[in-house]
Amino acid sequence: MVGSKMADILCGYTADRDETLIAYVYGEIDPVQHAAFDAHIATCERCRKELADLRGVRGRLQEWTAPGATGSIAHAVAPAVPDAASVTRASTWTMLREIPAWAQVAAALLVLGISAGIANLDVRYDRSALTIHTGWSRPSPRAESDSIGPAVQPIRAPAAAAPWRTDLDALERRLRTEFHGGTAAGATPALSARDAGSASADAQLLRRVRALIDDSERRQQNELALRIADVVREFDSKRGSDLVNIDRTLRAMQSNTGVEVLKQQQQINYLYRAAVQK
Amino acid sequence: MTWTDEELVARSIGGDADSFNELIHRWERPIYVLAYRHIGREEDARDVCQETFLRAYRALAGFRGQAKFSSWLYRIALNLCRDWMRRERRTPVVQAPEDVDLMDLAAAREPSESIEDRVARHDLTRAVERAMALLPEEQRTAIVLKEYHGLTFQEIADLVGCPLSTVKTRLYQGLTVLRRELARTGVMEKKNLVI
Repeated sequence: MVGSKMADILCGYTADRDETLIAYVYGEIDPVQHAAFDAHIATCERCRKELADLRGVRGRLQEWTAPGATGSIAHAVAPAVPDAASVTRASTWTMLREIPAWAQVAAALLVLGISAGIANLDVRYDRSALTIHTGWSRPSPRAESDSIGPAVQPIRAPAAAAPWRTDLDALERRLRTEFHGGTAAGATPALSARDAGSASADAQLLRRVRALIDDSERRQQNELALRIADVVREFDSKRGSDLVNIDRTLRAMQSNTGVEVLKQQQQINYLYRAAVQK
Repeated sequence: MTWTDEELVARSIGGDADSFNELIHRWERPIYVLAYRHIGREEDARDVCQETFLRAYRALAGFRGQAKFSSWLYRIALNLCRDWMRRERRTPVVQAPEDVDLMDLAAAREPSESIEDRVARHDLTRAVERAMALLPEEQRTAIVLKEYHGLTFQEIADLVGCPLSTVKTRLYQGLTVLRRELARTGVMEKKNLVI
């Protein structure tokens, strides 16, 4: 301690010492300055020690290795490379991925609703004609029945000139029957299937949540283990240094006590001799 | 034939996608490592690395070659790291390693490396990461660029936009803090590991 304080006082390097030290450590120093600093450290203990310390730190830093990245990023960047347009496209998808799922669903529903509103599509087929309506406003019943107006575009088929009419009617009736029957009979199974699908999705979600929780717990355990190890290591280190200090103090005390005992012994002997002589 | 970075840039600007992919392969590891040593999170470092190349590609036409391509790329990456730290409003994270289990450590060791050395190296890495995380951003940047990327003082000064003497001062101060921290944790006294 006293030696290092003396060294601190004794360093008389006139140029910018810290910068020169760093330049010297990294070997980026001009030859004249290098020679001058060489001459200086030959006589300066402080600079020699600091130089050694800095080199020691550099040695430790070299042992810090970064973990390897998992896979190349080329495949992630490559789609953006062919043209600038696709870069924009990629960034749009990136932005889209950042939007929560519920917001994406809501946006999709909104778009569907607006589209349906704009289209206002209505297809009707009856005995007299096949009628298709599009656009914002529906025609009045009168206009519909008269099949007049730009929004109404009836396609009329003459009843007499339709040999497929009976077949079509039969098909329609069969479809209606099957549809009604299917709706009544198939309502429960369809619901069950939807329930089953929903349950499956829930189970999957539950599994994912559990996996995330497990993962999080594992990380926390790892972190806790590391911290405990650090604490134990620091405690051991502290205990070791404390024991050394106690030992040193005890030795000093024993030494002092021994000296005192010796002095007292000498005094007793002196007194004894003096008493005997008298 | 091996093209220089600048030649590959010129070819990329001309529309050769393979040339830019070659630049990615050439520089993705250094950029990833640079980001990791600033941020301390593997996943975020990977994102920063990816974003660096995307930004570089978008701005490629504006690259005039005043600086080296690598310096230009480093600057983009450093800006992104700075943005990340400001956005997260925190110092770099010391990531909890996945492989703290002794069995994993044993499996991951080099054939010539004892398990004790492996554990010691693991501890040392953690200690260095923690000490680095304590440094102010500019000191950490200077040390990372100097120690792990081998840039000259002048290159660092150009990259971060400060005088040469400031770079040296930052390095000196940073190394001094690291020495103190590593000494405090007992790392400086440990024997050198044979790797």
